[in-house]
Amino acid sequence: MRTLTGQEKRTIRFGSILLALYLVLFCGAAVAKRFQARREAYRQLTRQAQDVRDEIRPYQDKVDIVKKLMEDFRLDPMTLSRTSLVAQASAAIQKAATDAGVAPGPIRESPGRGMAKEMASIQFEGSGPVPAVMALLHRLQETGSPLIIDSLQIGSDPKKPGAVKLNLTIVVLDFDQWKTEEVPSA
Amino acid sequence: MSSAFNVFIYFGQTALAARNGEALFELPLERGENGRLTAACRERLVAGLRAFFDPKGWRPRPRALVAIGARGVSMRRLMLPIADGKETQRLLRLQIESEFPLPPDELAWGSQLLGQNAGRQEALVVAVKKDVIESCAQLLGECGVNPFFTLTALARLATHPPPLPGCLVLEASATQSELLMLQDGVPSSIRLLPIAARDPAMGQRLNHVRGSVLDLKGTTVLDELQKLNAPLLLQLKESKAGKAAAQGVPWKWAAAAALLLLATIFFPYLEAVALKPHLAKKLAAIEIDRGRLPAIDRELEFLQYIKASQPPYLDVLYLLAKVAPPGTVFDSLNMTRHGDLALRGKMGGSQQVTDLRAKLIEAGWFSSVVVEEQTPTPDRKVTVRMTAVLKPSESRKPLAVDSPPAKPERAKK
Repeated sequence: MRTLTGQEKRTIRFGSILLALYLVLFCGAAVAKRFQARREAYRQLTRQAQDVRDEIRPYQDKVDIVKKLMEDFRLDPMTLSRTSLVAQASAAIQKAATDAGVAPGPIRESPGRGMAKEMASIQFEGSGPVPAVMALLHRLQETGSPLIIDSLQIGSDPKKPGAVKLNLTIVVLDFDQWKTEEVPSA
Repeated sequence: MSSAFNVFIYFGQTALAARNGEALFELPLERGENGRLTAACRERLVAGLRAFFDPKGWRPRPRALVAIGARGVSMRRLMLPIADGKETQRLLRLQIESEFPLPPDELAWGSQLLGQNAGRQEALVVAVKKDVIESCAQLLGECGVNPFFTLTALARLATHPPPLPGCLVLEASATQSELLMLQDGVPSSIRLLPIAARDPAMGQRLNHVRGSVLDLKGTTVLDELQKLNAPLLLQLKESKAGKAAAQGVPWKWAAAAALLLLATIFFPYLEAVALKPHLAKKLAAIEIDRGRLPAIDRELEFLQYIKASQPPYLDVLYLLAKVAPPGTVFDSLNMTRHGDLALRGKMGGSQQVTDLRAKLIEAGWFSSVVVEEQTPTPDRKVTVRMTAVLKPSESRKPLAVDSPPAKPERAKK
């Protein structure tokens, strides 16, 4: 092959530079545009992720509070069954009374007020010594059912000296009504 | 390999020649009786070379390949066991220690592997007293160059290949001559002869020698140096000076800088390309989990409602027991979730009723305490009926709980 002269070499070098410049300017611009678009999409995604993170952040505290309350009440609202809730609550109240040392008397169940998100109302009568009544009042908060003592009546029991008569109206809450209602945004 | 050097210097006995690109520098050298440069010559040389190289602080020092004469140089061909690079260096040190009059630490030496034969390898070793090289290195360092030393006689072979495998190459200068002996085309020893090129008896003295007689100028040596492909470098320290000289250091740094710059420019784009699928997948998973957030809200609201709706029955009973005067009997107590309290009982007198009411108000738990009825009984007591309304939880005072006194102390009394 013939050896190139200096001028030919210069021409080839100059041509190569021009070709490279052309490629950089035209192809490079197209490639850069494509990469720019990808970067913009990525940025958008990053912003979206940041928004989601900001939205989720307060939920860490909420979850902690929910856990604490669930432990305090020994209650997991998601496991409550609407069909058996009242029966479970009634059984739990009687068990709590017996465990505390209160002799259970008549128990009456009546439907709750829907507007107040109540499923049922249970009227419990029992009698026992004062410490047992106090223990029952304490234990009713840990039965595992969503109970609220609506009213309390304590009176002397003429039949049993040293014992008091207890009359409780207990409301069983309906978690399903919380499920269906609109939740305020976090 | 010669491209690793951008300056070439011939440091002869009587003259110094340097080439920096196309520019040339030449200066005759004056030496004292001890063979060292005179102070005046040294000063002139440093000034001249500094002006010639024009060193700039911000610029890396040019790497100079410096060819020195054969004065004080010792050349040997050594046989070594075959080993890897590091081990070969160690073996060479041991051989030098045994073959040369000075220990390796006092020598500036370099080596070149010649080949392998029958499980052994042959190496050409060139060594010179460290002082000789150090003085040159110091001088050239002051002039702003980074010197690497080789032997002029070896450079000559690059441009003047020996005519026979076994021959002598004589370089005759104005004052003395260097005789290089070759065996199998490879240098085996070098001698400095006290005969000059202009000596009329030179022809007679060399008539028994079969070989080439050269008379080379400094600039010719520079040409030879430039053509050296892999020069044998005399190392002052046992470092990888040869390797360092061979590597294009500034180019390496420039390439690293360019790479860093490119990485800085393209990183955001590469990040987008590389991380987008991962982020999108993660975001999709989070979006699915996001559906659980309203459930958490509902659970929280429900549990907080239960907590807020629990009336403080036990606290109220404790408070009553605490503030009621001794001898008080409560026949009945009614209380509702909304905080309405109704009491019926028997007390020691009307003063006790007033005290109880005052204490209940003082406790900070009730917004109103009303004695609806108090009726004296024949046994000088009072039957009383009271009502009270509980304050909202946030406006109640904290309840002070009295701990029972310690039993052991009571036992002591």
